Amino acid sequence: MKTLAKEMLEGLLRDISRKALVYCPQRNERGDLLLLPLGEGTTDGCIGKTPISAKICLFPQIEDVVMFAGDGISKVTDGRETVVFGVRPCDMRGIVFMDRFMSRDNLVDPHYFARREAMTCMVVACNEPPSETCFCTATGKRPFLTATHYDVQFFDAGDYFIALAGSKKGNRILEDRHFKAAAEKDIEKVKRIKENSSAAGMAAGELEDAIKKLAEDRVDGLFWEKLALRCIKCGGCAYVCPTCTCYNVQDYPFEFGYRRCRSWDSCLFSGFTRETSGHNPRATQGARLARRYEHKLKYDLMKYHEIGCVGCGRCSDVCPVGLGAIEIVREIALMP
Amino acid sequence: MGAENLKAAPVDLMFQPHPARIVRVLPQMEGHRLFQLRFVDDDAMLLFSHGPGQFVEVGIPGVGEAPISLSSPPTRQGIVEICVREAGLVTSALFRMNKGDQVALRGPFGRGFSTDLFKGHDLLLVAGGLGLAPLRSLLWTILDNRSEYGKLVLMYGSRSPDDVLFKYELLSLMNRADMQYLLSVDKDDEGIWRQYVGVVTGLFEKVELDPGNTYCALCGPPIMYRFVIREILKKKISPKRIFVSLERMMKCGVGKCGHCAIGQYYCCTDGPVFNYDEIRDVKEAL
Ligand SMILES: Cc1cc2nc3c(=O)[nH]c(=O)nc-3n(C[C@H](O)[C@H](O)[C@H](O)COP(=O)(O)OP(=O)(O)OC[C@H]3O[C@@H](n4cnc5c(N)ncnc54)[C@H](O)[C@@H]3O)c2cc1C
Ligand code: SF4
Ligand code: SF4
Ligand code: FES
Repeated sequence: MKTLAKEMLEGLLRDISRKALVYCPQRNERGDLLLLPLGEGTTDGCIGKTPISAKICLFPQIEDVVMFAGDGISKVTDGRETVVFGVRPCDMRGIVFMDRFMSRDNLVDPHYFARREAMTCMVVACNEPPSETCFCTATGKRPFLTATHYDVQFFDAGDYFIALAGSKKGNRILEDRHFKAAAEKDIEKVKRIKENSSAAGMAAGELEDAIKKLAEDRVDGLFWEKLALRCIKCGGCAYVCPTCTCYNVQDYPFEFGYRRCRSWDSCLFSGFTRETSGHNPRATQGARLARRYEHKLKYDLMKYHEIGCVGCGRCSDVCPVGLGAIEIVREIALMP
Repeated sequence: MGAENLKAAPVDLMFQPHPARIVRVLPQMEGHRLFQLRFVDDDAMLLFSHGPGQFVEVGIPGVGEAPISLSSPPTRQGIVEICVREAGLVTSALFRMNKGDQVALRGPFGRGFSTDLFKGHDLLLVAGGLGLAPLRSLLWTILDNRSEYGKLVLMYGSRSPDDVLFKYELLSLMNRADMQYLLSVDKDDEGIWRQYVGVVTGLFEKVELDPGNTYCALCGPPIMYRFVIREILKKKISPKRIFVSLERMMKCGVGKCGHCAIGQYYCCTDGPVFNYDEIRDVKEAL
């Protein structure tokens, strides 16, 4: 356990950035708080819930997967050392979720794991929920990590952070000159922070009720069709979600041949399942909206004994028509 | 950014496309061709071993990839056969290619038909249209080891006499005493068809099946399943003995891109061949 004075944070990140690509929450020129490479925005405490989670550092919006140059074919992987500061506990749970998905059934995604193995996650626990849409506590979790999936976890103790390492990589970070030894009282402080933190964007009972109704197939097609009338098919809910990993694949020319790229896709798009013949096994927008929530709240539970929603509330933040997880769960819970 | 070179890396046939040469192109009916392919790299060819019902991702640089069933049986190694219908971008680009041209292959993918389970039992194969492509792989797996299986019936439904795939190859099966081959065409405007005219379900009157000993393997358009399964169940065969091959939009073949999801399953890794009993109640499956 170490401590870090808040004014030392930037110095720490600059130290790390000599050897690795550092991401942290920064403000762009319009004032949006985004997870950007250090120096691409203005650091402003480097803390907050960014609209897109740390997923973007592992599974970027678009990435090359294969290169075709002449007769040569090569697989492209990116293993640059990357350190991310300001990963939210929910983001980290999303990453752990992706780790399992990206390696399930011995099909280990080489592009994802090249990045993952080169990534160090510095999580910042939430004393207070960073936004009113946070509902990790409703999913049965807390706004900090208990299992050591993180490399370092920071607790905000006012004018300084208390930092705990969860891995060898984390231990190495804590060796940086900016850290100081922690005192006895810091153990007590962490305990108090943990006790007092919660996130209340959704009542736990609502989520349980919705999960139960979905498991029992009590939510019918009409329910979804009515809600989906509002959906403008922007795909935003999937893009911002820390556990959504669906992608499309497309080839693009470059000076020596072609690059095969994968980019974020969304099950809310009608073309997502439409086959060349025009046949579409998921034919309506209601069926597509249902898919998003059944996948997370029903099928993931069946497969992994854990729902595929980490309660970050980002889909509710971003959906322009109020069809995020919070609203959907509430609608289902209100059903008779 | 590190581009891992193909030659230095261990052979990865799942995420890394490998160059394969078109050895032969055999035109079938209008808009359908059989391509014989061989990996350029002998290591890749040696490593490639598939079961009937599995598929490959056929890639053309600059155009994309498409999932295509393996049409050749695992009993005949050294060559990869695929039967392709010209549909969209990738398949049209493939149709512009000739003997000697190169494609980029990944695979084999998915779960196919379990020949271990089928051994020692009677088998009913029902194909509709292009659904014959994967079932041809199963058919020849059985015929190449004929003594290991019981009675064999193949039912194949086409739209018209001009739409019969593998016409001549299948003609040779007509005279075999160790199997029953039944063909149907939906319509025969010219009146030249000597066999059954009507939908494939009509063929069920002509067969005797032992419900306790028969496994069924189906591949065809979605509409076919509903009617064929009804006929099979009428014959008192248990849903557990029925296997269906499903088609879904696919991008990766390795259970990652999400396009092929059916309920809690992924068609590319849990299928494309599913046990009917396991998926009959799964939303959007059939
Ligand atoms: C398991 C499986 C086995 C198949 N076996 C055969 C076969 O043996 N012979 C054959 O001719 N066709 C087969 N198909 C259908 C074939 O994959 C599509 O016709 C093909 O993908 C169309 O691609 P395109 O680029 O020509 O068309 P486009 O319309 O340009 O399609 C673009 C992309 O969308 C995806 N896509 C579109 N339609 C389908 C579809 N029906 N299924 C899956 N992905 C699709 C593919 O990634 C394709 O590259 C099979 C499909 C699946 C899922
Ligand atoms: S479904 Fe919504 S609330 Fe749940 S993890 Fe995804 S973006 Fe966050
Ligand atoms: S964010 Fe809202 S409007 Fe956009 S696709 Fe998702 S549900 Fe539809
Ligand atoms: S094709 Fe990508 S998940 Fe099945």
